[in-house]
Amino acid sequence: MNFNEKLRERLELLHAGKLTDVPYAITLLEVAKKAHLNGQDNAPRLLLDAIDHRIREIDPDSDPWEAAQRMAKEKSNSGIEGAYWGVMILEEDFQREGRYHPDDWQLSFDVAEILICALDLEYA
Amino acid sequence: MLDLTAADYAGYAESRLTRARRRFDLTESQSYTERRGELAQIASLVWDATIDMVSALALLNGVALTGRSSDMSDYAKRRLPDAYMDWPGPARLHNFQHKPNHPEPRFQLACRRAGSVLSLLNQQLPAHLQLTSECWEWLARPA
Repeated sequence: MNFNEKLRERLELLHAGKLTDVPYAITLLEVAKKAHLNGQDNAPRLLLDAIDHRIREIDPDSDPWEAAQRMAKEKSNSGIEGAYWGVMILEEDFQREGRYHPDDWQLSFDVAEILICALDLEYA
Repeated sequence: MLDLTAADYAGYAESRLTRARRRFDLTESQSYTERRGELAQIASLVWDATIDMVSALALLNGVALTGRSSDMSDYAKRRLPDAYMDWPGPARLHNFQHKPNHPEPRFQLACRRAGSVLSLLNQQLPAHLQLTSECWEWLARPA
């Protein structure tokens, strides 16, 4: 199985509620989703907190963005940096404009979820 | 309706990326502000090429997609999560074609991320359909 297939399998197990080792960051993602559905201003920040939490479990001493960039290089997996960037710019947009587009939220949520599962595989 | 093959879509992607690179090269001496309109057209071509690549891969898996952005993104998310992690790049380029207001650093990062997606999608294609890396390497250059 290549990395994409392993990742797909892990995501399918997660969505089917059959993943036995659900990381705490996934719980934090659900908290962010509830905040989004309730229209809370801190939803983008909570989304970023969820992936920061997972990254800090692997590298507690670095800034999470810098750690994500380093991990992307270390694992030759540009998606680690790309997904983090996608979540980070949602938060930046919200800070600048005071709002965000629902499609951008959904994309950021999805890539955050995939990133967490990808890190589980890369740093098993 | 035309019965397109995966090879057709890979060919369209190559053609769009070649056109995008030519337009990028032709306006390279202009400032970011001056060439913003041109960059919007380039962003559109890169987004469409990304969708062509996803269409090619879907057809190879026996799935005919509608071509609607949401369907294409959904397919990429479910079947190609590895490449989808970089999807915010092409998605921001998709927005840029309609509203070219991103600051220059963000546009550059979106281009670089789009290049990563194209590279990863390309790796999933069978060897005879793969594009050369020249098709997207220019996306890592400063706008």
